[in-house]
Amino acid sequence: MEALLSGLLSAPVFLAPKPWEDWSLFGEQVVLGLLTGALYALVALAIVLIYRSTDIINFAQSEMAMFGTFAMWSIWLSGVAFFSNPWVLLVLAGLFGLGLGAVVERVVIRPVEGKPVLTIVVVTLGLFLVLNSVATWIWAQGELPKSFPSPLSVLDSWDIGFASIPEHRVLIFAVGAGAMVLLGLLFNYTKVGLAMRATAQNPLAAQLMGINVGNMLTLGWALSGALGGIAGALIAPVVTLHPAFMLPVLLYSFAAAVLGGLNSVPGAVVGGFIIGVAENLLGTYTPHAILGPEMSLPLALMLLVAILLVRPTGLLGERTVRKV
Amino acid sequence: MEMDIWPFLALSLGVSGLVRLLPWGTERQRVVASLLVLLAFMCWAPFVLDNFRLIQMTRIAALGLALLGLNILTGYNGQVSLGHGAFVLMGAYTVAVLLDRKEQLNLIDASPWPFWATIFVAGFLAAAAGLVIGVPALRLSGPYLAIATLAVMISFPIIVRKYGTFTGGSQGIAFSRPPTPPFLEDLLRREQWTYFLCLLALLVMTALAWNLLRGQFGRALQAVRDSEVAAAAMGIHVARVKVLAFVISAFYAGVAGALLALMTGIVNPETVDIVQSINYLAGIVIGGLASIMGSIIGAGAIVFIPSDAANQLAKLPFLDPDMLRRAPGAIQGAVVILVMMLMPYGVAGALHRLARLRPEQVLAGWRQVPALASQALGRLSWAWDIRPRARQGPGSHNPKREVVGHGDGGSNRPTQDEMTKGGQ
Amino acid sequence: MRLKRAWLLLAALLSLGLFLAACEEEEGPATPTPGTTPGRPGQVRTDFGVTDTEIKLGHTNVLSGSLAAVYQPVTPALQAYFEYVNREKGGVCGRRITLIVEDNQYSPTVARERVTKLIEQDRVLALVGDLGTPAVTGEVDYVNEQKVPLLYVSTGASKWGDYQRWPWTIGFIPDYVSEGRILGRFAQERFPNAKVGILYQNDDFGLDGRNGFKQEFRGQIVAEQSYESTATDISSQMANLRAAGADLVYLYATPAFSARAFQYMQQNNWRPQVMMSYVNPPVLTATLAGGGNAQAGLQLVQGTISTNYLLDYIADADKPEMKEHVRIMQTYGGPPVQSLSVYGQALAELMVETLKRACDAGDLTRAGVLRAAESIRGFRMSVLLPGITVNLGPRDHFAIQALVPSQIQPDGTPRPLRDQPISVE
Repeated sequence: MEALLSGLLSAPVFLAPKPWEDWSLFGEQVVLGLLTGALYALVALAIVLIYRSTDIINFAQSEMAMFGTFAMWSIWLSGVAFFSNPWVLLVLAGLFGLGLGAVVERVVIRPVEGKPVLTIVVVTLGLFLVLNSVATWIWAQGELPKSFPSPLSVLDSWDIGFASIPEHRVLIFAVGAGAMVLLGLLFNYTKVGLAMRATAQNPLAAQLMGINVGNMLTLGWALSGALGGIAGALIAPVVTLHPAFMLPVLLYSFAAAVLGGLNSVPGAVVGGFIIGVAENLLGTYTPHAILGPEMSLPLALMLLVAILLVRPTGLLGERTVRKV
Repeated sequence: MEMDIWPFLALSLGVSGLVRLLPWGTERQRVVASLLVLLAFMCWAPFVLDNFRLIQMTRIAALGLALLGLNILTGYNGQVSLGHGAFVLMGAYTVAVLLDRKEQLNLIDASPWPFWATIFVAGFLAAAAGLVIGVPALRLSGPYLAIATLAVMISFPIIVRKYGTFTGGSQGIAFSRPPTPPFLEDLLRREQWTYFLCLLALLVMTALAWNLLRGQFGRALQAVRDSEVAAAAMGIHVARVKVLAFVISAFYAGVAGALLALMTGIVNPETVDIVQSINYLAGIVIGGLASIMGSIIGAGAIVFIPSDAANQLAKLPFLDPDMLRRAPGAIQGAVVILVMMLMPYGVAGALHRLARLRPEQVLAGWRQVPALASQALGRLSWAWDIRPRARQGPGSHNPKREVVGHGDGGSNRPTQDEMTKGGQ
Repeated sequence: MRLKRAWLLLAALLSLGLFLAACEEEEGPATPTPGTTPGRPGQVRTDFGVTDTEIKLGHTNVLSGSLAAVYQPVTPALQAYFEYVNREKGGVCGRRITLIVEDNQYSPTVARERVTKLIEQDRVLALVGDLGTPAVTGEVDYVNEQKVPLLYVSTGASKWGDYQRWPWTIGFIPDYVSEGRILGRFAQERFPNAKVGILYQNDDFGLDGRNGFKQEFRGQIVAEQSYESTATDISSQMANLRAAGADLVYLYATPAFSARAFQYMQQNNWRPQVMMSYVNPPVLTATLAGGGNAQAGLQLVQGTISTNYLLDYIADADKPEMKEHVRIMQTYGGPPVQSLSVYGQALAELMVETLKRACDAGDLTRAGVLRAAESIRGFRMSVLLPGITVNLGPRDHFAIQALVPSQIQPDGTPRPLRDQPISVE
């Protein structure tokens, strides 16, 4: 039986590298997966933020970040010495996102506020089209993709023996960790955070408790826009800048946010890491002839669905109790 | 006689509307007659429209089926799917594989199938896939289900490329489209024949859906949507209803995919991409959730907004045509946003409410226009709004929890029967 | 009850009114009738899309709605060159060229619909430079049934040269299989003992490039890795290539991903020989790899073997042809100068030449245009690299099938590694 099994596994169709043949490769794949996962986690945090504060999923999240990043790119090229500092750009990207989020909520979302959730989601889809198209019109007539400056080098790296970690990726890690802690504090330990959660769960009751629902929704959009903007400015140096650069990240981040639980801040980060690592390991250690790197994304998504079936509200998500 | 699509649609909708509304006969007679008139116009369409518009109409018929399927699932049953493109692709691939003359799939038979049979096979295969996805979907709800179905849609084209022996890989499968039947050859061009094929499918499937949704099953679907616990308490088998909704919905999507494939004679992974799959959901929300008419209107929106919004607006003097040419998406997106702002319950919902308005209500509304206008200006101005406003009328439930509501929460909320029948 | 309905009645009447209004507007489109119209150089036969003053051409490109909208500058570049011909050269055959553009959304279904509009509503003479492999796949059968020339298709799929299946279709750019074969043959020549690692994009483009390479290269391939065009990171794939011990990396990827591959090599201090596709303009790839710093990027990209057929808008900026290109694009509303604008001009020049030949033969009909295209031998567009010419014939429906392998120098210019281009015709 054992012989049959090992014989079967050594058939060419099932040929695959094995982790124990090269542990340093395994280590490198895990580290690289965590690095990629950090990108997803960053955007997933913005998704969680807006879901917890307004109860919707924002499809325009990616394009708002893209739009802001292109705006920063213009500022960068403006020639003013102050703006050529990538750290300044990073801060400005956050501020721009903050403003864009607030404007979008006031102008586009406010008129459909209180309408069915799907109506609002479709409005964000319309917003996606508008932002994408306007950005293409303004910025994307020249050679694409563009490069975007990074505060820390994308080429210099820290060698940790079995893998090298580019300095810029360390920054992404740090920002992601910082954002996670701040958001956790905001939602769990501040009055504003509590008011935002209350608004998302039951606007009418929140209003009766004296919460200004409109301002809370604007705040939610603004904060999520700021986080998205910073994420865009951090991701652009890695994946390069063009009008569609954030959409794939957004799709991965949806998966990450859902995997961790849409209402859980640490869940978003855990979800991002799991997706990133799973994709790398599944691409590397599955039989190349029948699965392999080409199938790594579908396999990772299957894993996502499988986990959801066991935990329908994500790994760290709280079950919402529904009253009849 | 040749006509462009817009005058044609205005004429057909106008005449059938007149038949419906002029005071003659009984209510039932008027409804049936107006539908027959509309059908007559649709049968006349291929002889007055040019091929471009005819192909658009054909695509609306096919997409209308996909959207109707999605609407059964999302609008009537409250299960949000972003992955219906996968079922459509599956239907399209089924037809392509079965009609392909090359030996793509030696497993079955080298000779091509009769094309009408492939449509059924496509539908049933998609329905089987719907079963496979619908059962685990029981565990998930809301955005979790939406993202899980999106994951299916993202994976599908990649799987198709990987197992290219069966699917033609990224090149796709080109097959010869079914010829016009011999007895119609002298009468119809190929585009006209394809159109009638899709129109027939739309008619049959719409009638089936109407029959299904107005009866016990339709009520069960909506009871489950509104409250699973209450539905279970009334003796509805919730799980069975939800899975059935998935299966039926996937069947419709599969047939739609089959028709799309028969239209072009080529299927590849880009036949439906992720963005289009998400657009299906936008289509039913724009057209109107939980409405058969809304599904077809939504298909019209998906086809006509990209092809006509920018072109028609370019005729306006104050818009820069160069901008429109380079940023067509901006106009499309703006139209989508405006439609949702003006008609948050979709076009079908708006039409329905319009039909129920009494003249005195309209007059009352007219008197409020100045007040409303100043309010709208106030919203657009950047003043940080600190007045606590009552956002909902008295007696309404909390709309934030209502995922797929189709009323306005007020007193003249339409019932489902009224929405499908188009008013009393 | 009746009062309630009055409003709908009003709406119905209103839409009828709209219909009547629209009817008055529609005074029947002027349809060009087949016949003979006087042209300046003698009599010219015409059938569709040609009047005494105008030649109408159609073009579909991916302008919106998809991840693939990055190729849209080709369209304004085409338009700019045609405008230049109209204004400065008096058009072709004494007629202005008008380009009617439609958005095919990268989808076969939409493309089929839009191309029907171009052929049956606009009645264009020919289609030029349609872009997007899936989109053109949706158009091609119909266009050939209608016997409309589908000229210089701007996609690198290898199937467009199939003149028996699609007699009215002519491909333009070197297809990706051919490029893969050329690079494979070159690798076989120069690095027969290399351990090759392949990284390709998992779609039409990448698979063609991989398959072409494997047809010609007989040596050892130690690893093959792929990525999705929607991927965010390819370090994992690069790590696998490195672990497999590859010393020659064959990179069939688009610039954003090639740049990331170079970044990975730098981060890990890994220096294999690299071969990459012509879709990666050297300076752009280097700038991306250097994170905006072209100088740093060129340190990584130099020594890479690539191929080319067009002038490079940065490396060849001083050549008179490139200066003229910049002037045309700036004067006539073209896009900012870039590889795609150079490409668009090459396409437009070949189309103008085709129309000229048709005019000289006195036959500006659809069939005449196809015959004119098939008669082109040894034609050189101004923005092609030296030694590369367009050769077409009734049994050769690929415009360019030769490429010059070259090595990227530290200043970003490609140095040709052979005197003659390698051709796989």
